[in-house]
Amino acid sequence: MTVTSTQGELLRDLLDGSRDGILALDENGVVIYANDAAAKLLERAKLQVIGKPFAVFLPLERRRAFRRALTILDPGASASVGLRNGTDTEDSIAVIRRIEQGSPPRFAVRLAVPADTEHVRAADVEPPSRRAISRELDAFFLRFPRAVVGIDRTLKVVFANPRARNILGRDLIRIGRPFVDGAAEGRLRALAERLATIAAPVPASLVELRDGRRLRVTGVAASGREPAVMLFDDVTEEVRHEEVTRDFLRNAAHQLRTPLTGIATAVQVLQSGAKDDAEDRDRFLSHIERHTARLSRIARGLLVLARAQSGETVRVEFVELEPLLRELTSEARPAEGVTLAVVCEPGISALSDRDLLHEAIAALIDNAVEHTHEGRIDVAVAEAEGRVTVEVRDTGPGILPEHRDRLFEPFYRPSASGHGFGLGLAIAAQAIEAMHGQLAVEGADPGTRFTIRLPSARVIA
Amino acid sequence: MSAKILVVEDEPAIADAVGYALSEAGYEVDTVGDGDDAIAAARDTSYDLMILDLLLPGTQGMDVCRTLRSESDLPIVMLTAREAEADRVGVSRSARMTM
Repeated sequence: MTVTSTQGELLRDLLDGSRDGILALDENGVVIYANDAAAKLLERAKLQVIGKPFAVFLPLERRRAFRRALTILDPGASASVGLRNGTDTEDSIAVIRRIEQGSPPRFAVRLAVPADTEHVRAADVEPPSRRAISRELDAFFLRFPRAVVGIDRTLKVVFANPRARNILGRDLIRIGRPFVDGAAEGRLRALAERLATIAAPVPASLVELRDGRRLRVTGVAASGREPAVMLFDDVTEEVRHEEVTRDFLRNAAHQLRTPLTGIATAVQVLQSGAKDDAEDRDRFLSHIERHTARLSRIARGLLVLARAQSGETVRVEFVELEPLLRELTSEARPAEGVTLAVVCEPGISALSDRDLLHEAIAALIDNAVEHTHEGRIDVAVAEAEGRVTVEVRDTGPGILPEHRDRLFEPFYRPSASGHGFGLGLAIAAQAIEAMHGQLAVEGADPGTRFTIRLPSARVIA
Repeated sequence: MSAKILVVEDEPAIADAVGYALSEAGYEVDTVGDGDDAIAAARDTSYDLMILDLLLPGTQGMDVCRTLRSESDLPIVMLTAREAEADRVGVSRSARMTM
């Protein structure tokens, strides 16, 4: 093939303008020409491509196939060789064709344009649009609702969004510095190493930080020059909620099983002969009666709790406290020698749901009665600054600080003693919350003080 | 002379049923409702067997078992609603026995 100088220039312009990478190789496979696109696709300057054996741009595993193609290809025939390890795709192959005749070049190589390169080239032509896309991506990245950290193969942070820095702290995440440097948070670093240096995927993992917070971590492994991307969320509250739910179910089952066991054993004993003796029969029947009542109380407690938790609109009204407290304290049965006293001026009303307020105060009084074996239980109502407070104070043994955080969880019982089943305080807390009030607990030296705060009627009047 | 058994159970219905069944079977039965009373009774009286609830007010069943194991060879049978593996391991370690 003879080409005139003008034709040669035209051809060169055409080749340089092509989106596909085009190379010409000599008999030994050395590159004697490469267009701009080929240099770009091989991520080299054009001068670094020309004069090099084309094989050096292929993965080691592909070089043998390439050399074989050079020796076996007939004139006009072509073969393709993958440009990357793994599965070949349309955008990662080199098509090698032996030129039919004439002097060098002997081979033409076409590199297919990866799909995503199309965008880059389009952006090259229109720089303003590229900047706009970049700005949008930056904004999205900044607002992305998960923590994102890019980690290179040397485990250095190459990018991080604000959420990542918020969760892990600025000391652990600095651009250009090793990811969670030092011995701290070893598990997180091990996952990063797997993603970034081994370039292996990691399954979604739950990682506990040294301060007790839990992170759910996933990631995209490093690929070629692309950094690994680690994504994580702070799921501390979610995990805690799951634990509370699990404890609730376990405790509920246990609390239901105690009376059921009582009933079952009583029935068994009655059937095995106790029914024939009047005294034994009555005694075991009374056990059954007592445990049935207990089951009934648990079921009622769970229903009240479900109602308080349901978020359904509470029926708010002015509930006068003095008659309510009189009713509740008359039903209470404190231990012998324990004084139960109420201080409440007539006329004070709380803006509340009558049933829920009844349940909440009843639960606090029951709790005080159960734990106070000597001294006093004082129920006092006060009104100030548009709020009404109902205080239930006892002189019982008090609550250890380690139990205070979990005190309002359903079925949570600090000890096995007592006859309650751990629903009362949970009901009180949920009922008060449903009425947009507050329930606080504090040590009273001696004993414990629970305080309910609700809007008073006077605010509305 | 029939064997003497101490039943340690805080739930009266269960203590009553276990006590009744053992009495009917010909054993002599004492019943206590908490851990401290159980230790005191075991020191005071020579029992042939103790049936011990794990969840007790005051001193827990596991601690009662540990205390008595260090000072006597009284056979102890644990009575519990707990079924978890961790509880079983805890009990067998405490009692130095195979369950």
